[in-house]
Amino acid sequence: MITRPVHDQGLRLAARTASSASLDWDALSGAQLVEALSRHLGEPSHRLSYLLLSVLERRVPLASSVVEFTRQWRIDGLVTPLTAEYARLARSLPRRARPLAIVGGVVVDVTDTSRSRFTTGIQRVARETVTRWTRDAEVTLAAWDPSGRTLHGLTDDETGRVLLADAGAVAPVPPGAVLIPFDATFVLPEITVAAARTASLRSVVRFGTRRSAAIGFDCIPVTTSETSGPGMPGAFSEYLAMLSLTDVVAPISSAAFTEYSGWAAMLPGAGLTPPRIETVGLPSQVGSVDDATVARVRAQLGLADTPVVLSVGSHEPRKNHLNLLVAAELNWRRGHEFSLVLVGGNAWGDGEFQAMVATLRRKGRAVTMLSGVDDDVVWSLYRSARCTVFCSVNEGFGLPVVESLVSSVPVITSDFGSMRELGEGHGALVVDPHDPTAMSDALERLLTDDELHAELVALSDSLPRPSWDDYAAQLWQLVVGPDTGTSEAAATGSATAETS
Amino acid sequence: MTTVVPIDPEVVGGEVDDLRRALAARLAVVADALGVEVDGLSPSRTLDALARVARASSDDRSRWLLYVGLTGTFPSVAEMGKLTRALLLSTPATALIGVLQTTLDVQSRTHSGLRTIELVRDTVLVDVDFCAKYEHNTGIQRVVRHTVPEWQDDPERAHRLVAWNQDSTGYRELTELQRDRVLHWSDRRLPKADDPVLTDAQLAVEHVLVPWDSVLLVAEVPAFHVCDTLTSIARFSGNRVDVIGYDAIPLVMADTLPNAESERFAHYLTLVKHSRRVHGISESAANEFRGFVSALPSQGLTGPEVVTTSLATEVSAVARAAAGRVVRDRSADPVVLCVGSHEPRKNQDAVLFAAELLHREGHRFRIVFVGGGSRTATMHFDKRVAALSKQGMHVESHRRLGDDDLWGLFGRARFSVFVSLHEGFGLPVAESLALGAPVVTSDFGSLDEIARVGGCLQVDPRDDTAIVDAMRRLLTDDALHDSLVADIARQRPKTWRAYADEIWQGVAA
Repeated sequence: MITRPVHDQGLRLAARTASSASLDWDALSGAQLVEALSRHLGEPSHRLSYLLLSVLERRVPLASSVVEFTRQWRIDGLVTPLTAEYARLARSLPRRARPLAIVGGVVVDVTDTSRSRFTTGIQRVARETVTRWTRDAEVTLAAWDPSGRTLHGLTDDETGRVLLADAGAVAPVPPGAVLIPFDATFVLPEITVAAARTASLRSVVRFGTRRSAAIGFDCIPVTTSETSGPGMPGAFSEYLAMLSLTDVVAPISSAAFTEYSGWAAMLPGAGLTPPRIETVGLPSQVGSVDDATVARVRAQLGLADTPVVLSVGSHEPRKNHLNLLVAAELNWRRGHEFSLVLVGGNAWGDGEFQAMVATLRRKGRAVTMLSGVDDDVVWSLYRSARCTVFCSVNEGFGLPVVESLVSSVPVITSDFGSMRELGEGHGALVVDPHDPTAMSDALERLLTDDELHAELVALSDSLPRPSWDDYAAQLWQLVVGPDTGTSEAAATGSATAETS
Repeated sequence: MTTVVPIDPEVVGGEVDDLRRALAARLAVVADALGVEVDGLSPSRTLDALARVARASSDDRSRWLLYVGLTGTFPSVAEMGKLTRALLLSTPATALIGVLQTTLDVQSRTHSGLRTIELVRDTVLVDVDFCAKYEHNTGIQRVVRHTVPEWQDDPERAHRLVAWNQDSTGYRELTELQRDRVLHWSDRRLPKADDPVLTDAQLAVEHVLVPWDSVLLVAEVPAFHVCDTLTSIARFSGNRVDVIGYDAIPLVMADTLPNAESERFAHYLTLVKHSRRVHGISESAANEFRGFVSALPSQGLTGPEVVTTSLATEVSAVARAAAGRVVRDRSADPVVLCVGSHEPRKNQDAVLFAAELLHREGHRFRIVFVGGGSRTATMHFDKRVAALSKQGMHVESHRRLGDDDLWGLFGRARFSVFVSLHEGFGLPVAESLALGAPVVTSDFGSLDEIARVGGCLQVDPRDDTAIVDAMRRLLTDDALHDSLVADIARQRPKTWRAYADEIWQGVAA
């Protein structure tokens, strides 16, 4: 057997991590090392197969390889398959292998957040939450490389994109190191619809963790596939199949809870124990802007004199903008004067929407479309609006409902799910979004009935406003589990790296 | 008065007259169904009258039917939305223009203008599209081909078998050949042949069957490209749509299937959302659909009622005869049989592992794998089988085995192994039991439902060593084997007749 120093280093790391035998592992190499492992590592298990393959492949192995390796271990003992993998993998390794670190403790997968500068949606949740966690606990931040197969520590730049001001320190990992979560507490505060990353996560969650948790944003791509772009329902199904192996999923609203609970109820037929589903509701997010800015934005957009009806959301079919345009047109025809302002990017399947906007504009209707605008502009528009409309067909949360109400502006929203839950009784008028006539009637009432309008504005004060601190603390309790305090999981957080 | 610009017959020949006559005939059907008096009116005036009615109507079905009559095709959900919005924004006088505007694309197709339509009213339509068109017979097709024939020639169970037309825009009657494929699978009356591919000219004169005030039973999992049109029927046409719920494997076990399968299934779920009733093929399958339905209030829907109608467990007389003809050679190694299409979910790798381990332990047996699969799914496995065979293990893998040979193997088997990770029903377990062979199978879901009756050893299929132990016991413990065989002998399999009765009652209710 030809010895490979890089494999020997990896196997010694595995040995020190998983074996309690008091051997001088550094004195062993090649066949002797393999032999010693077969005597001192323990009984065949997927957990140990995962560890051994990880240090030889120098990345998280696929679940199918782990299962296959354990089978061979059971049939032939450890020496034969381990020697075979030792030799086989030596051929595919680069000349200079990246350092390897085995990480326990809390490992947070912030792949997308570490690469993007988006300030809304999922990334926002990840940033606000992880930032707060780093203040009291030691967490390791990790991201998958673009191939989705190798997990690595974050560069300073990447860390900077994840953590907001006032963050604490994160667990140090060797620069450029490949990370192997082992007996870890793994957290996914994002979603993944990249096939290779999803497959790698399956393996981590199944073999490399003691506990795993994820935030559940919604199940829309499979419960409302008719509003999802091509490829999304399939990729999302794989993401859910991976989530089925986790211990806890924390939906962001009780509407998302309903969806995840329904999905979880489908799992026992496949012999799977569903994860615990426990809601941690997102906080209300308040943006503020001064009066001068509001006035400037109004003037710039030529909205100084007319009431503004605002709708914030991308132009994808799920947001139901076609029915909004019908409702607006019916009101214009009845002689009501207002400007319709639509804030949101172009999206999959918006052809008919674009055509209808063009038709309305040709008739002289005041339709303003904005995309990619600053937060200041958005908050100024909220502050300027007579009312907003957010009648989506399905939402995990429905941020625009909250944004409108924290701006003390009544919102017309859908009469179900998260939108109803957030808005009803707090300044929203709820309607059936599939019924443009109902939407039109609600809009007419808000444009013409000052008493109703004032009533709804007053109600918006009653909107519950939990903070990000509350959210992060509740989620942390779910991550570390009912049996552990806040510190135990974090105490073992440091990485074990190779010694050469 | 409007003036009509004379048509130049040199340019259009007789086609315009034909189109006009076809349109008039279709609109007459629509007018009759909607109770609109159009006697003596020209097609354009008929359409005007119908457009006004569709505009004023508060229910969607008049608009759905008008669309069908005008175009000779079923509308998609988006097309219905477009039509509805156009009518909302029109006046009575401009309703006609709104209707024409939103159907223009479809009406300008050259292959549908001459179609005739027929309302199929107050009855049950059974969508058997795939079974009608393809010579393929696994899982779902076997259910349909066992069930539908039980309803033939029963005046109490009047129904109409339908398939999608070639451009998937509407239903058509089955051809004689297609009926033969559905109704006489094991007893064919006609020589096997491919369906002819229709020309545009033939497509243009299709006779479209339009469900109206009826129940539509979607007996298969429909093709991706008709899910949306079916959803439109379920949402807007006023017909009640029932589906047979086979399983939710593409969602729950998405990691074991090609992505496209999960994608298609998610679109099928959109139809399920708007259907009236799901007939789950097992308690486990029904529970999966119940789980999905319980997620729907988040989007303001209640979803379908879900009932359990468990499939039959009997096998055909032909199969029993073939299995019974086997002469057992007591001196030969016992046969262990593992049947099922070859894919990760069926867990054949674990069975092969268990067999190898038992072989190493010195147990003598012959293990036979039967089931087709894609090359990517089978390549590694077949190599391993070849290697083990070379080392003297008695193992074989058959990718294409005739039915008779398969029944014979069941007759010869000491036991079979079916440790799938997930099934809607698990026909191989039912078949094995019906043919007298005990089964090692999984301890949850639909397989547990079948196994609970007796004759099986149940294991956690994700626990390799549990599979080894169960197989070892059945190889070595004759008393256990005898008791399982005795359990099986007491079983009375559920017949397809009984299943067909139950489904009919559920659909007709």
